[in-house]
Formats: sequence, C-alpha cells, structure tokens
Amino acid sequence: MESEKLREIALKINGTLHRLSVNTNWTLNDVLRNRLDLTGTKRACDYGGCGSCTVLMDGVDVYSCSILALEAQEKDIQTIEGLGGGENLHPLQSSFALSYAAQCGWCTPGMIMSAKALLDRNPNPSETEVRAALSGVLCRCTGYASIVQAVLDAARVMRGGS
Amino acid sequence: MSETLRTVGQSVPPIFGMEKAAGTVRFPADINFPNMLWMKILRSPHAHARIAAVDTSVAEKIPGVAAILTHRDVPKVLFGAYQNEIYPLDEEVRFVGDTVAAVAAEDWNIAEEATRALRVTYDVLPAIQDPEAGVKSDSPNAVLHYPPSEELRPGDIRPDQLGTFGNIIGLREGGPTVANERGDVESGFEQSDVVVERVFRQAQVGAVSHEPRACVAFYENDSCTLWCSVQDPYRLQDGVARVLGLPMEKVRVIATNLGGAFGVKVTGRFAVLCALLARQTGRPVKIWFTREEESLDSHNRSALTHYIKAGAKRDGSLTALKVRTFLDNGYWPYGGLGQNIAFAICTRPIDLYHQCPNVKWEVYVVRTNRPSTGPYRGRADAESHFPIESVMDELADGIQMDPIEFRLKNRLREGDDLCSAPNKVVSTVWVEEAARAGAQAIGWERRSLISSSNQGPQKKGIGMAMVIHSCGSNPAGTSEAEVTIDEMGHISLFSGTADQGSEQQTTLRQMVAEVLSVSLDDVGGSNADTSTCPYDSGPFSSRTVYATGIAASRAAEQAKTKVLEAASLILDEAIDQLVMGNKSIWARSATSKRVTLGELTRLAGGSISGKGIHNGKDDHLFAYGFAAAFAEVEVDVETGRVKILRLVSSHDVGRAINPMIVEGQILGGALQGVGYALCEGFYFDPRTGTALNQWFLDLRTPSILDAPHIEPVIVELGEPTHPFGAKGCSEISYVGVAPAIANAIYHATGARVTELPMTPDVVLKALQDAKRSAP
Amino acid sequence: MIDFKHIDAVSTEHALSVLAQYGEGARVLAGGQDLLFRIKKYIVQPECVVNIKTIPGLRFIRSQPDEGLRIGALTTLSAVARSLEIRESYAALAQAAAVVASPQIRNMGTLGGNICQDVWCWYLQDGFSCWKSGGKFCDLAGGDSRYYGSIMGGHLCLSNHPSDTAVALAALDARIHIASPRGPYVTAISDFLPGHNWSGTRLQSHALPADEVVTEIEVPFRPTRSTYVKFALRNSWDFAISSVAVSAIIEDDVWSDLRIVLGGVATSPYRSREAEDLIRNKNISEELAHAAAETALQQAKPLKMNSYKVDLSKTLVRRALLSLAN
Repeated sequence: MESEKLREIALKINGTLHRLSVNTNWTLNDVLRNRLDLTGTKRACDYGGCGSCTVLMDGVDVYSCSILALEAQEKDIQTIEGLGGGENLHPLQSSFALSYAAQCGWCTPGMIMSAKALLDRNPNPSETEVRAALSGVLCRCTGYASIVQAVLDAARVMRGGS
Repeated sequence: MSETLRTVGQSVPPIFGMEKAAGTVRFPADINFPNMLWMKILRSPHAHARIAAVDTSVAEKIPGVAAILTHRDVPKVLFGAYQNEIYPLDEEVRFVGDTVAAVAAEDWNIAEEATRALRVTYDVLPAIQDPEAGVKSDSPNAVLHYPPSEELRPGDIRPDQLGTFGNIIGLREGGPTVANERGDVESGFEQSDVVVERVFRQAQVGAVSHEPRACVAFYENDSCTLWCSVQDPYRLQDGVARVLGLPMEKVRVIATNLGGAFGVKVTGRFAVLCALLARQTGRPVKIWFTREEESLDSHNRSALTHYIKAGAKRDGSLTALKVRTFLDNGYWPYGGLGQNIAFAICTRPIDLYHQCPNVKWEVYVVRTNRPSTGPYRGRADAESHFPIESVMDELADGIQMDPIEFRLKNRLREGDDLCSAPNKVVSTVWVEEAARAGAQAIGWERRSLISSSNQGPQKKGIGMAMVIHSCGSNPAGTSEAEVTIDEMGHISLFSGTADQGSEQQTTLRQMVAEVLSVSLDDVGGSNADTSTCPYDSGPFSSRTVYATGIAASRAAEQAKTKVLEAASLILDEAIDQLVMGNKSIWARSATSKRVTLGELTRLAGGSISGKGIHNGKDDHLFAYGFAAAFAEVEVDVETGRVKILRLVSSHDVGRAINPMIVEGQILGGALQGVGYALCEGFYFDPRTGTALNQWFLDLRTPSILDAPHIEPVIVELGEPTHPFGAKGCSEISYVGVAPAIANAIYHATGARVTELPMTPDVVLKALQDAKRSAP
Repeated sequence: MIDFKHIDAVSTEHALSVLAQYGEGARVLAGGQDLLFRIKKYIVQPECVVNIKTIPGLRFIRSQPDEGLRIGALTTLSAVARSLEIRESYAALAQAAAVVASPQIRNMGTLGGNICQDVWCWYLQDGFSCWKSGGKFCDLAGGDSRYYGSIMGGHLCLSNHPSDTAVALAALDARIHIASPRGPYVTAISDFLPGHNWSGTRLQSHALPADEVVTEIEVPFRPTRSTYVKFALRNSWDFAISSVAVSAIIEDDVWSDLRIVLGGVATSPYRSREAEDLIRNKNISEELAHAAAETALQQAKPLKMNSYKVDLSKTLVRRALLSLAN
C-alpha cells in the first residue's frame, strides 16, 4: 500500500526545520546522509555496534542508525555540522583538529558528539568519565589515547583555561 | 641528525585534521549525486557452486529497479587487485559471500529487495574449508575454473609455474608454495641443548576498517569517473579500463580519503560492476558495503597453522629452526598476494635471526572456499612472529638466558645479506637500541621480582617480542611524485597515495617544505587522483614515508634546482651564492638582490615542475624497520582473563618526520595488535563455510574501555637511504603485541598459549595443559 | 529493510487493539535497539510496527520503602542506572542496567524492552537452521558455542537469554505488570522468563503473548544488599559470557533471604535455590562460598565448546558472594 509506506515528516536538524517525504523504514541516519546530504554523520555498521552514527537528540547521544526517521520528529537533532565548522569550530573540533585525535576520521563525528553530550552535563570530567562517555564509539585507528586527551583539552578550554 | 630543520621533526597538526573534525571530508561513501542509483550485490549462500541459472523476472518487475547484471551480462575480461585473475562476475562461486549478481535501483531498500528477489539455481560443488585438508591428493578442488593464462599480466605467476596438485598454490608439484632452506636442520637439532616443538594456530582476522568501502561511478561521453575507497586507484583504473574496453585516459579514479584501509581496501568486483552499471543506466551509481560485506569481501589476514621446532645451545646460539606453515589463502584462483606473503613469512624472521645456521621453513599456501585473504596491517610478520617469538622465549627459558640477550645474540647486523630480499643487504639495524630503550621503559629488571611475588589467582608477568617489518623498501613498489610551483609562487605536491588515516600528505609536505625551505602552510597538493597525480603503487607496507617520501623529496630537489638555475640567471649570481627561504631567493652577498618564487616563475616563463621517482629494484641497500614490544600483564588464572597493565612499543623509526603522527600510528597499530592477541577472530562454520561473526558486536575490536596504557618509544638513529633518515612505521607496532603478551602470560603462569586470539577459554585451556604437564 | 506499517500508539488500549488486529504480523517497538536490527537482518519481518513510546505515563521511577520500586516499562536503561534510589536500595539492578551494551543504546533502550529482548546467536543469521526463524533444528547445538549458548540445557533453542537486567531483576524478585485484552495482570519474573517457549508460531524468550504489552516492572522492597557481576570479552557492548546477581539480607554477618541468579548460561535467568540453601542463616566464608558455587553449577550440561563457562561461572558466583559480604 503505497500511501502507508511514505510519510510527510518534519525534522529539526541543527536548528533548521526540514520537511520531507520519507519511507517508514528509513532510519534517521538514512535521511541525514542520503536525503539531506549531511554526511558528517557516518555509519560503519547500521546495528548500533560502532557509534559512528552518533548524533544528539534533545541533547542525548543516540545512534541515528537505530532510530526511525519518522520517530525523530519534534526532537532537536544536532549533528557534527551543527556543532561548528569553517571559521567557527567548536572547541572540541579545534582540539581534535590540532592534535592527531582524528586519523582516518570516520569515528570522529561520533566521538565529538558523544563528548559534547558529556561536557554539556559534566564540564569537568575525569579521564575515567571521559572513557565511560565515549564507550559507545569504536575507533580502529588511534588507540583512543589522543581522543581522550583532545576531549580533556577541549573541556579545559571551555572552562576558560587554555 | 644534528642539522637544524624547520618542518621535518615537528609535530605539526595534520592537514586533514580540521575537515575531519568538522565532518566535511567527503569519503567515497559520502558522495551523493542527483539522479543517483543505489547498487547492491547478491552474494552466494554456498561455499562452492556453479550458477546454473539466474531468473531475474521477478526482480526486474519491482518498481524502481533500473538494471541487473548476471555473469552472462558482463564482459569476460580479467582484472584483479594483484594479478588479473578474476572476471567481474563468474559462473563459479567460490565462497559464502561471493559475488553472484548486481542490481541498481532508485534507493537502497529497493536494491536490497531486488537482490533477494533474484532466483538463482546452483549446482553445489564440494568445498574445501580447511587448508590442511585441502592439500591431500584426493581433496576436491576449491577452484574448478582457472582463467586462461595468456591474459595474466607479464610477471604474474603462469599456470605452468603453478602446481597442479590440488589446492596448493605452488611452484613444485605437491610441495610447499615457498620454502626457505639452509644448512641441515636435523643435525642442528642434534647439536642443540634445548629443543622446543609446538603447534601454533592463528584465527583469521579482518582489518575492520570503519568506513565500509564504497564506490560511486559516473559515466558520460565514453568516460568513467569513480570515487572509490581503494588504496590502489591506478590498479582500479587499469581494471575498469580493461573491463569496459576504454583507453586509460578515459578512466579516472579518485581515492582521496579512506576511512581506514590497513592494506585491505583494493580493486575488486564491487567497483568494476559499479562502473558497468553506470554505463548501462547512464546514471551515477553508488555501492556502499554493509558491515557484513566489508567483513567478507575484504582480504582478511589468513588463518594459519604453524608446526615449529627450534633448537638452541646453552651458549645462546640458535642452532635450528624448522617450520611448516599452512596458510588459508581463500578462493584466489592464482593466489592473489599469497605467494608474496608466504615468501616474506619464511624469510623475514630468518633474516632477523640471521645467525641461525640451519633453517627449513615451508609454507603451504592453500586455496580454500573461504573469503580471499591478503595483506592486513603487519603483512607476513604478524603471521610469523607469533610462533617465532613465542618459541624464542621458550628457548631462552630452557637455556636460562635473558630473553632479550638471547634474541640479540642471534640477530642480524647492518650489511648482512637478506634471504627476504635476494641480492640486497640490510641497511641500518637499530633493533638493539629499540629493545634496550623499551626494556628500560617497562622496567625489565623488575621481572624476577614480579614473578616471585605472585600470590593468589592474579598473576603478573612481563614478556617481550622482537620484530622485523617492512619500512618502505619494496622492489615491487614504485612511487612517482611531482612538485610544482605556479606563477603565484604556490607550491603543490602531487602524489598518487590515498590518505587512509596516516596523514601521509602531512608528512610528505613536511619533507617538501624542508627541501624548499618554506613553511608547511606554503605547500599544498593533491593526492590519489589518477588524472592529476603521478603513479604510486599505494600506501601499503609502510612504504609511504619512505618510498613516496624519497620520490617527493627528489621532486622537490629537482624543482629547487630549476628554481636556483632560473634565479641564477635572473639575479646574475652563481648558484652557490644564492640562498632560498620563505618563498624567496636572494644573493648571499647582497640580500636586496632577491626575487620571490612567484616573480621567478613568471619571469621564467611559467610553472616550474620537479619530478621524482623511487623504485627500489636497483638499490643494493634494503631498509627494514625494527621494533621491540613489551607487555606487562595480569592473568586471572581462575577466569582466563588477561589484563594488560602496560604495553611499551619501542621503534627504530630512523627519524620521526612528524613525531605526533608517528606516535599516533604506533598507538593505533599496537591497539589493533591487542585485539589480534586477545579478542578478535573471524570464525567460520566448518560445515557450510559461512562466516559466523560478520558484524561489530562479534568482531570484537577493542573499545575505549578495553584499551590498555600504551607507551610509544621512538629511537631515531637515521637511515642513509632516505633523505631525512626516515623509515616507515605505521604497521610495525602491530606485529610484536601478540607474542609479547603470550610471553608475558608464560612468565606469569608458566602456561604457553599457542592459539590466537587468547580469549579466556583459550587461556584456561593452556593453564590446564600446563598443570597437566608440570613435573 | 523490508517495508512495514508504522503506528504510533496513543494509549495502552490503542496498542493492544492494533496488536490484536495484526496478530503475529505486529511487533512492539519501544527503544528500537533490539527490534530494528532484527528487521534489518530479516530475522523478523513484521507487517506492522507499533510504536509504544508515544503512550504517556509509562516512563517513571517511583520508590517508596513500603511499596517498593515501580519502574515504567519505557524508562530508559540510562535512567535506571543513574537513579539514586535504585543504586542505593536495588544496587544489582542499577549495576546491571549500567553495563548493558553502550551509552547510546542505554539512552534509548528501555527496561521493558531489555527483559523482552530475544537471543543473539550466530545461527540466527541467513544460512543456518534456527527454531526462531522457522527452522526445525538448532545449529548452535553442534556448532560454535564458545560465546553464545546455554550450559544448562534448553528446550529446542539452546541460546542463552542475553539480558543483564533480567538477571538482576530475578535476584530482586521482580514482578512484571502486563496490559492485556483479557485484563491487566502481574506475573513473577521467573514465570515471565521460563526459557524458550512457543507463542503461536514464534519460539520466544519470554512468555508474553503477541497481543500483550509490558507496562511496568515492580520490585518489592527487601532490605537486601545486592550486586551484579558481568564477565564479557570486552568492556562495552558485549553480552555476558557469564554473569551473576546476588541479593541477600546480611545482618550481623548472617545471611538470609538470599537469591543467587546466573546469567549468560541458561535460556532464562538461572536461579540456584540449592546454592541459596547452603548459605541461608549462616556466615559466609571462603569454603561456604566455594561450596555454594559448586552447587549452583552442579546441573551444568555444557555444549561442545562452552564447558569452560562452568568453572568460570563458579568463580563468579564465589567472588560475588564474598564481595557482597564486604
């Protein structure tokens, strides 16, 4: 039944309302990447096993591959593009950019968004708390130490340090 | 090492860092076109079968399906990543997951639905699952249909060179694929005071790159452009040109940033079929692997079994090494890279232990009806060092000699000839320095104290492993580079090497900047575009910093020479009286006599270009990288859990062009090594050949909560064959981790673990075996 | 992914009526962290998916000393893990919720969904025979059972129940509140999770009929100490290879009102009353903990590749008992 498969929905992504027509079986990740060309959010698996699809939904870090697009309405979705870019990098992004916390770069948006969720609720995390907060994003390249350091550095900058 | 350098040796931020942090890098999987079709592959459910028929009638009628390709619809032209040995689609399928057909449709769900609607009739054939079973004379053939030999490239292995004995890829009928022999091992064992005999088994593992590979193909005006996650874009260009019957200049492959590759993202059917569908439909076509496909269709490191016997004398000399290795090569008809890997397996460790007089190492590379295997990070040495370094440890224990001293006593020295590189001798060997630096970092002298104070079920131990690995010398590789200076004085480096996370562009540009005495920001460039960049055989085998670095430096030097020659004319000064810096050239005696690079190029009549090439074929010196891995572990003997308290990874890197990047590569490689050691394994159902654990949950790559503290140690003592003394080091940290951990477990508990991964069940079994055989 | 209809339930009654209408063709979608991957992998192929996140009033945590703990079925695992009351008085539950999968999964995954989740097993996938996907044979039985698989036998399907929270809830005597077209009712968690059982044509890991919905999880108040210990290969994402929940009233070192429940080793949370009997009204000691651990695993009948789980589980039981005493 064609009409039941397609829905007109409105998604609020990075502060902008997007009206679009989606299949009921499209995930939020499908819509972000394949319809809105917001390809900063990645996907390494599609089953909630890797974390590279992490976005913030009402400030909470979630896997966009495991959320149906039509269930993401009336939520505030934030992706890496909404965090900053170009001349206006978020301190987390600068911190990753200036160190070698991004190697291949595929897990980077997921790591940064998870870190953002952490720093929003805890501006002064310990290393253990950083690791716990990032435990839902896998990295194959860095060995994680540089990522943890980049998050701690960004947290310090955001608290007013340097 | 004493000259002052401006950019080389500096930990400058990586060039792509900002884009990666902002999420604006366009990986091939991120490329979207209007009017684009999505492609999906139908994969074989059988380990070995002939396709009798494909009924596309149901699939064709699904609304939104644009094209379907079966083996009857594609050109019968050979191509391949290493040798031209496969067709785009074949009537014979050779592993569970092999490519059967391809569909292009309006969206990804329709494409998936259409593949599931294809009705394929298979004639199931007997399959080989186990390499040791595969070598028997009565075992069925894993591959029935061999492509005609006249289509193989010059230099490829010819069928008359191939063994016709069943499934062994071999040069000798019924014999091993490769053998390395010297002296007489049996008499060596007779002279030994200690002999160790073991069987080691290593599970297959995947690179598990986070970006599942993707290809977007765009066909217009008899030209095909592909954005593709491959490390070998020139090889793909060749493959697509051959299959589509196009001249090379009509095929362009762009492979700028890959989300991890580790040696396994290479030319394959997925990309060639994508190009064919783009041509057939006249629309852009995209394929993006699922995680399962990235696990299956990806050249994992093969599973191996080693039967090893080694002997030593009480004075610390190695007397004999006898090894028989079975390597599960997967379904490659002509072996893929298996022979190359096998050769390195049985020669490199022998080079490392150059003093051992008696050696017999046979490697059987066996065709199986399993996914094709190939060169994953640490190629050949990750395969060989687990048994070798484990056995070295046991020998040292047997003769009561310190494990480090025992290894160093038998090691190679600078200038020694190499069986792994015939007619060449090894350049610098700083392995002793690396081993001692690492020993100091871990506190090796605490060893006896640690083991004597072990009480209760948690037992601590320290172990180490010594490593040899490629650092860029590779006669089979070629790197070309071009440095151009345009009329605005802008400097660009063109190099056909794709960035897969090791930020080679940064390191290469640092070298170029150094030669031209400019800052890094003044050097731009492009990588991995077959239309704009000169040939590079790709970022494999840790070769980029070394081989591409030499090419890039030579290109920069040539550009510099041209600049100085032009400046000499313009400023009317002898070349040796000129100084170059900050994008200007001036006379030493009168600094007001100067010209900027931009002015110079305009005056010289246009862009200046320097070219450089590196191909190690004629080099007499062969550079190797060396490392020593040290692990301090705590083994819970009641649960089998191995906790790594500390890991030290000490490296002879020659010179760290960018220390931050070098350290990052060491740490990343070491953690992958931890995964190989403790929890990763790619398992198959032995009855059907179906891969059991194709998704992340069960691939068990280490999470942040599994990452131990890893300490990189960098030893910089130079390498004369490289303009800046650098050796490639992106892989070598992987190799020593598994044996170092196994040796630490041995030190802690007396149990010798001979299986990878060393999961709790495996460790518990080794502990039980040790108890049973204890006096 | 296949196409399916998607219906937002506006009330429990509405959800029940849709479930009744579609019968086995409908699946309940709560957090989505379990159902969606099964649809993607063609393990289940629902005609209709009923979103119950839109039902108001199912997300709450209430704790009264006399009433006990009441948790709405849609409460996220993160909320359960964070709750101060649960961490103080029902520690095993908070500890279990805190180690489910990963933070993002806990942020969406619900407690109701976690106890209703089906098994994960390598043989659920295409190419194998599995009772849960229409097969008549369990390929795990003679296959690779190193990680997934019961060591306590099972009915037809030999895969172990994967939920962490279910083990803790079993040790805490949880009761499950269920909405049904036949009237709401409450059932003990041990009856809710009886091992694999048939519901129509589905071989399920819980006893909920296709037309019913879990609305609440209730934990009666007992002045117990409790703990949940999980042994997995990795420290994130992985299901337990073996796990233990222990709860007991410990007064003046004397143990009473014990529960010892094992996870990861049976087709439902495995409670060992025999082990509990050994310790009841006694002080714990190394010897007693050891004996209890031996007893807890005495019925073990491991599969081809998981006999190591027997001794491993004994170690976990022993250590969990001793740690609770301190």
